[in-house]
Amino acid sequence: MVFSSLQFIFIFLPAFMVVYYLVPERFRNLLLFLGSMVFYTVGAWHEPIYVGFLLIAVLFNYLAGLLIERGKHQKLWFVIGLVFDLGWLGVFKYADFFIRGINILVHAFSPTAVGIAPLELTLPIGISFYTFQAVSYLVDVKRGDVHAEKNFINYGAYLTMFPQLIAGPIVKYSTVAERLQHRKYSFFQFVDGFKIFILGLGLKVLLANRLAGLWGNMEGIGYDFVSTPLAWAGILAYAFEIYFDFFGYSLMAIGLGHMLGFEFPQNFNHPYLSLSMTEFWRRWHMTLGSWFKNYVYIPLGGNREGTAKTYRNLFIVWALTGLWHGAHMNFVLWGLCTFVLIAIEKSGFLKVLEKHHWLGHIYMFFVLCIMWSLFAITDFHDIGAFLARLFPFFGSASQGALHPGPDFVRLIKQYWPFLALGFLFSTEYPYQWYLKIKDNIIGSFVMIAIFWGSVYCMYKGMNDPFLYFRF
Amino acid sequence: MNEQNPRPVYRQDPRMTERQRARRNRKRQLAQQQKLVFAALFLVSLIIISPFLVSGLVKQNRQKKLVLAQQQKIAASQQGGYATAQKAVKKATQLPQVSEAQAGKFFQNTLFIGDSRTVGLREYGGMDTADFFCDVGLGIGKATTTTLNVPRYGNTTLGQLLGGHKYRRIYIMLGINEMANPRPTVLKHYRNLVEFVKEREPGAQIILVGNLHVTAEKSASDPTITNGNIDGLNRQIAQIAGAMHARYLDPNPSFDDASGNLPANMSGDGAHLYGKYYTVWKNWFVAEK
Repeated sequence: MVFSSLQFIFIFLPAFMVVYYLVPERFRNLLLFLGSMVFYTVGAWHEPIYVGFLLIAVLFNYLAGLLIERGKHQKLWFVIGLVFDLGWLGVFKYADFFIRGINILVHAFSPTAVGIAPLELTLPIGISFYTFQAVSYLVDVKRGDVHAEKNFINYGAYLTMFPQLIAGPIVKYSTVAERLQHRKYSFFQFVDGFKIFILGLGLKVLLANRLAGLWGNMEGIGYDFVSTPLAWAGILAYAFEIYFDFFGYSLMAIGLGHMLGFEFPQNFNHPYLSLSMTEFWRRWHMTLGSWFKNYVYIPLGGNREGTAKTYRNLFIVWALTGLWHGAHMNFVLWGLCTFVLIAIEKSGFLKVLEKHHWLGHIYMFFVLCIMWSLFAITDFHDIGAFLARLFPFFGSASQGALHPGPDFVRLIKQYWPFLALGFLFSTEYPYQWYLKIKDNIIGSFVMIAIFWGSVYCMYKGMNDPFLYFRF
Repeated sequence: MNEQNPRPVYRQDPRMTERQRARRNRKRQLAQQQKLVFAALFLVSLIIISPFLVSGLVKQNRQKKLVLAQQQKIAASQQGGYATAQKAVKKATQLPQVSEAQAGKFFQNTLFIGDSRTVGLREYGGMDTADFFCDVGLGIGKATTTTLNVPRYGNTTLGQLLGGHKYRRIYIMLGINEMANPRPTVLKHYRNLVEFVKEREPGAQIILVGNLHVTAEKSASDPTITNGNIDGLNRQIAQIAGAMHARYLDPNPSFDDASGNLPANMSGDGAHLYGKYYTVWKNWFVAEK
């Protein structure tokens, strides 16, 4: 089930909340666990076996956590737990990636060989997120940072709770451990949470989904054919779309968490205001960045074992981050380019960017447009063709690309308000305005308008599948 | 954007004066009052809007069922009726490339009426001497009354456009946006449109163009926009052409791959050609004269 759907907002959510608050406090974790399984089952209707996988993951990690803490073979259970969790993820998400790689090698040596057929497994929804949460739990238990959860229901509620099951934020066990035992409920917290949910809904439905149309139009024209102005408009639309889509979804998750009595971590902090890639990844998908820092970078040694090892560790982290985003080489390339930029910034460029803000903003503008091109387009030839349209200075392939055609005029007429809003909402002004109005009458009217405006758009069927779902 | 939920600190802060504490409590009470106001306003809006939402959803659902039933009826009634022409058709991509001069002459005094595919022809087809009365998502029922921006003429209705110009050839390519609408209404609108054009341009040759297929992937993933349904609609348009003494052209034999779908490499979104293939379509129009 998608948060931005009528069945979630008008059927599941009210029904769940009513039961949740009617039931005595001690049953609420059970209800959360069961309700989240219902939520997941509806979403995985065509592949019901993935519900089973989720349950197995809950059971296995719950047992592994206990055994790591008290059992005799701590390290063994830890390794088994990791292999199990990452193994599932590896098979479902990356099997075909490796098969494709093997096929390329096979064909390099013997062009007529048949190679292995891809498995074409569908990705269980949310597996990238709940696997990372499970792994974080096992590592935290092993390190002694948290006590293993004795209560199976509580652990099940932690891993599967529907606000963050499908698309994050990636919540560490320690963040919610206390609240799993005891939550403070208040009507005002509930209302605040609902307001945050409305904000997220608006960003996704009214802004991100609209901008998706511009990028989609541009894709439909063809990367090698689109005019340069339209290519730039298109990549801007994509940059805003992916941000507001994911940011909106994270806000909805945080809002829902509030409504249940939990407090989830922030996932985005005005990332497009960053002056460097280093800063960008402290503001974009923050829970993913800190997951990689805590569970990959620091165990590898972080920056405490000399310069060479630091760069090696950064390389590994960014290659893996890229790979996490998708089982295709363009994501790995995206990750590696991020590494190169961060490495360059680390060796002195960062100070220059931080000193001259204007340089930082210009640098990030061009860098992000190029990086999102790598992220958005899978095929390398298409990436090359598209970059040639963005920067039509090299080669005859980009002849005549500069002229804005009638399609550009038409599409800009249609989409310029959303592009302008994209720029506005990337700044801190809307948030500061929100803080001023959220507890007065104007705020109430604005929130209600956003809510019903979003519902109207969803009703009209303009809802698009959330970008981060098959992750 | 995680707002700090101001949790009131009840510990006695000796630095805070009585007045400051009172002010802070007042602020908190005010905020709480406002949250109650918000909740009340929201519930009111919910009560007012829900009936409309529910009735709208019920209507949508009913129409969807009706359209599906109609499509099944159409598909059943056309089994084995219409024999697809088996003559060898030259693939559009292999047609001779029409020069700019040729195209300029051929498309003089020509009008295209259509939807987003026709917009594509206008923007990428290289048929700049033709006139285009088209819009993304143009509904057949609206075509006779709506005002559109036509290059060289500005904002105009179809009636004004036809009134001010004598066309030799008028192509109509519509229908794919109406796949989810009740078919009898769609066909009625289509006949009305052809009547409308004929009345105003008695000397023009009217050519009804079948809707281009979608890719196999799109056809398989969409419940209403399937190539089977498109064929059904196209056959009915062909019947209209016969009844109203218009010509009927079907681009699909020239574009389809072996399995009867638009080739996947010709489209990015499954329903529209890549920009560069619209000139191929131009070649097809010229070849079909």
